Amino acid sequence: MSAQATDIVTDAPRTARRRKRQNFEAYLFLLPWFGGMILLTAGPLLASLYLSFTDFDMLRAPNWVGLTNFVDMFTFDPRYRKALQVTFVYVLLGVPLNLMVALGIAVLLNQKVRGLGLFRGVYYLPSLLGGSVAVAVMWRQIFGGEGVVNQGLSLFGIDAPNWISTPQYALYTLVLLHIWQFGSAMIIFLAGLQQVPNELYEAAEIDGAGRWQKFRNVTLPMITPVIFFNLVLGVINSFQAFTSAYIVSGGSGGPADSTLFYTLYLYQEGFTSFRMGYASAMGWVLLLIIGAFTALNFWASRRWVYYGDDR
Amino acid sequence: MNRRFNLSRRSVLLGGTAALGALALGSTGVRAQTGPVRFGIFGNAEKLAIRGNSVARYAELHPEINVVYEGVPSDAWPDKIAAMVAGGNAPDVITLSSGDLEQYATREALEPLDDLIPDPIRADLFETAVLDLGRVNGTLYGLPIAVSIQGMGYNQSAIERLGLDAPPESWNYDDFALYCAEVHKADSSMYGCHDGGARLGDLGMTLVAQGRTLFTENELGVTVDEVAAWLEYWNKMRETGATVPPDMQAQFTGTEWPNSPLVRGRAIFANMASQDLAGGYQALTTDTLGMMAPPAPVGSDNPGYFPRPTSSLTLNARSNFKQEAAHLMDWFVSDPESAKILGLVSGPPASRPALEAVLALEDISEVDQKVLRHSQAALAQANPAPPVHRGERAVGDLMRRVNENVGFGAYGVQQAAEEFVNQGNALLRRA
Amino acid sequence: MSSIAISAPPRRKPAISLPRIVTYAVLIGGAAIMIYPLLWMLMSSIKSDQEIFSNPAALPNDIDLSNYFTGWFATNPSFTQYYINSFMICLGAVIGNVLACSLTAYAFARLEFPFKRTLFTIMLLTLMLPSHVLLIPQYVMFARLGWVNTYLPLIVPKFLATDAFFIFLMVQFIRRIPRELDEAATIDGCSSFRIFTSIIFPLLQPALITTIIFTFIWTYNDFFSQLIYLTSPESLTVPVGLRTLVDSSGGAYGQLLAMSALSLIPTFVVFLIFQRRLVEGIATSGLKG
Repeated sequence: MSAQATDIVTDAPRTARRRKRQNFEAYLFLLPWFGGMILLTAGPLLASLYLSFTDFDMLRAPNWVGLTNFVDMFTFDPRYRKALQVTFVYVLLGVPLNLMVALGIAVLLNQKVRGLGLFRGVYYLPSLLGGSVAVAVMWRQIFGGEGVVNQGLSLFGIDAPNWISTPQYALYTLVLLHIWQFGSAMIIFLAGLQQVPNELYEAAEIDGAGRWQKFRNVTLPMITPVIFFNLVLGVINSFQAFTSAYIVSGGSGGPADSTLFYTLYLYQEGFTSFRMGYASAMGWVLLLIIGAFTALNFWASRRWVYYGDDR
Repeated sequence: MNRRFNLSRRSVLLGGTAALGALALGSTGVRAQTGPVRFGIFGNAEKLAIRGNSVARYAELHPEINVVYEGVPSDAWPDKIAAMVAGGNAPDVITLSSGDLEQYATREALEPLDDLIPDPIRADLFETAVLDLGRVNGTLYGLPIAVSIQGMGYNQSAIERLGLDAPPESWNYDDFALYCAEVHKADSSMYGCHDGGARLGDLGMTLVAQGRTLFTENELGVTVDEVAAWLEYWNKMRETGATVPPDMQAQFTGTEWPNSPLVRGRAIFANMASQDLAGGYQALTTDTLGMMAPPAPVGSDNPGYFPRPTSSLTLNARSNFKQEAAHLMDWFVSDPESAKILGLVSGPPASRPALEAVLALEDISEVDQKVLRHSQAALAQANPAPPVHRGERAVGDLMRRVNENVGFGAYGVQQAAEEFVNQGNALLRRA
Repeated sequence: MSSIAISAPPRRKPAISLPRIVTYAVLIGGAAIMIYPLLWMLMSSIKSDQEIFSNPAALPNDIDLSNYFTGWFATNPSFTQYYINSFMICLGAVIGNVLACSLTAYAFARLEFPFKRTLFTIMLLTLMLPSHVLLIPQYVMFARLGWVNTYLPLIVPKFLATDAFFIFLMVQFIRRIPRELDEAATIDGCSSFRIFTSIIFPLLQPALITTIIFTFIWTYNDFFSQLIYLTSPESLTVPVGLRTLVDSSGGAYGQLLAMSALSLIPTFVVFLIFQRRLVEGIATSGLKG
């Protein structure tokens, strides 16, 4: 987790006096964040770390159990392995597809198009729904056995399965749901595209660059920080994906655990079975997994992300 | 302090509510109210409003107590109440479903109610067997609001459309399988029943009918062979079209009524908690639904009925107003006036005067009458309730999973049964 | 490939050409797929519950708006109160996030100070722990502070820059602003604070708009913390209200869909208003590289 640090810190010669003044100013800027960190975040974070070594059941005082929770997770618990597997498939499929669709549509919507605002709105609408219960009702009606998708397919004589409740396919309907809600990534891409100076395009046009070349040689390099941001956050969020599986499977992660996301299992253990100590341990293992992926991301970013302030 | 206050309120009560009202009005602003006594309950908007009316009526009758009503959406209640209890600011009165009662009582979050009998809690208004539903290891922790009993919902209109004979008054699992197979023969797009293999409670009923229980201490009370036979029965049912295919069953998560094969018009029968016929099923279909006896195990004439509370009122162990809260609890579940406001919103009331008040109501809908009739008849034949285990919900989820794995062909019946018993026992030990 | 076009200079009038037709075809086709589920929701919201599920794809028999009226007043208090509460929370959260996150991001992106790497890593770590694990410890803390059943647990954290997502977002954007700008200002004798208010903050506009849109929408949809921290019926919010319409004992699905459709309007309007600024950004941000 130190790979990003070299990206963030740019060393420049400074006098000791200036550095001191800047330190002071920096801490002044960080004052609200420090406050929040110390008062609101650090306590609960450390508490959960402590609880991961206990048998905490939410209602009684926790008892120290050492590494039992962690050992259980990797030796005893077959559902834990299933949850890991489901989550990895979801992340590896969902994140790249979501980003590609979001970037493609963002680029299309960054032109002078008639009804631009409306188009953007329509593409963002599904993301407005978030994890509303209505999504669950809707998704089941659309991908269910007699749902709209299958009614459409039957016109072509295809006898399709019940997508949402067949173990082989259920997870993919959730990946699709994730792709459908690409609006957030799209907005961040749009904002990133706004920051690309027009002069660069004009210069490229003078050099006789076509649309593809402009995209490839101007747009793409210029928005790499934003692609990087979306990638890092996409990975973090997808590892923590919860709501979609929770509402679509009614909290079960079914059928046959085929949509048992990591955090859904964590939730079941913590809040349904009252094993909050175990759930906390799961949470910290997830933090390590996500941390490793994020560090990898930051490390790789040095090869492909371009910042304006690099020298 | 509270106790003294309570005594004075009780003595005032003797003078009649009118006098009390006048007294309270005259002394507003002079005498401080006791409380707040917080009443926490879950439900959907409609039910929360009705339950709120009952609590509001209580507050009207007792202006000296500051009653605060906190209604929470059902799905979110388990998280919210866990956070509130852990955070030390849970309501004084906590409503818990029967599985959660066990969880909270065994973790010392709830106040034993035995010392609050007979005043303010009038335990004699309950049948002993019903009141026992609120006991955990012999101690009373919960006052049951309503009693739930198993039933078999069926689609009367569809049976007529298919031209089948009406199902018999009572039957066993073999008769049931034959009838269900007939349904599929009469119309290949229809199936006999919901896939009951997933329902731990149904397996539990067959054991109760034999005088056994699903849980014994920290062990499952079934053998691998018995579980295999159960899973095999339902596997056969799937093969003959007597029960719905696994994907159709899996689309119904258990409480998402619109996706149930019964509402979809794809199955005739569905085992259910009887009160779900009204709110869950009938409200979503234009067909007429009915309620009858679930099948009995072969060789028995008893389906193995046993009662469960739909939910119970419990008292927060950390409450500062235990007497007042207990008084409110007692009123909510037992007072005829409360019962008239609540009607059948939770199912048939558990306490005797409340049930009588509801039976006397004139505007009971047709479907509610069916639920009531069935519930009365079934309770008369009911067996003593088997013990609830803290790990019941986790084992119930396991049952559904292994049945799904058999249905989708991932496991053989034997392997699934072994997994169920092994993992089930592990879950019980861990719970 | 030709559809991947980059914003043309504003003065040029769009001509009707093949790439343009392809662009529109893709956009309209995509929009149809995106919006179908929502049309289904609208269509179902004017049906009776039995009609919704007996034939989900069919057009409604007749237009019946009663779900909208009954749904609005199905809860006590009605949705009017829920909307007011939701907007108040959103407003507080938006102001908090814009101010606190931009200050923090500026420090991380531009200033030098000891432990910067460690602190930045810690900030990112807070994003990685699943919220369910933090829920109970956080609740216990807010309960001890006596903040439960007030809006404080929902708003105060935003003023203390606890949304690491936006800090990270703004750091990424600030780093794209050429350093020459603030260096020139430093030479002119501007303090860090002046540089922040007069150079960085204005140039950060696209990221700030993104922050406003997201904070509003996410706070508005944040069912879980509103559910956990708000208790009295008068203080509840739109997503909590929506969740009460249907539960495992039944409910009114038509009303749920009608109220869900209505609940999209505020976020949709906020989105439409602010995304406009993302367009204007092209011409006005004056970003010279």
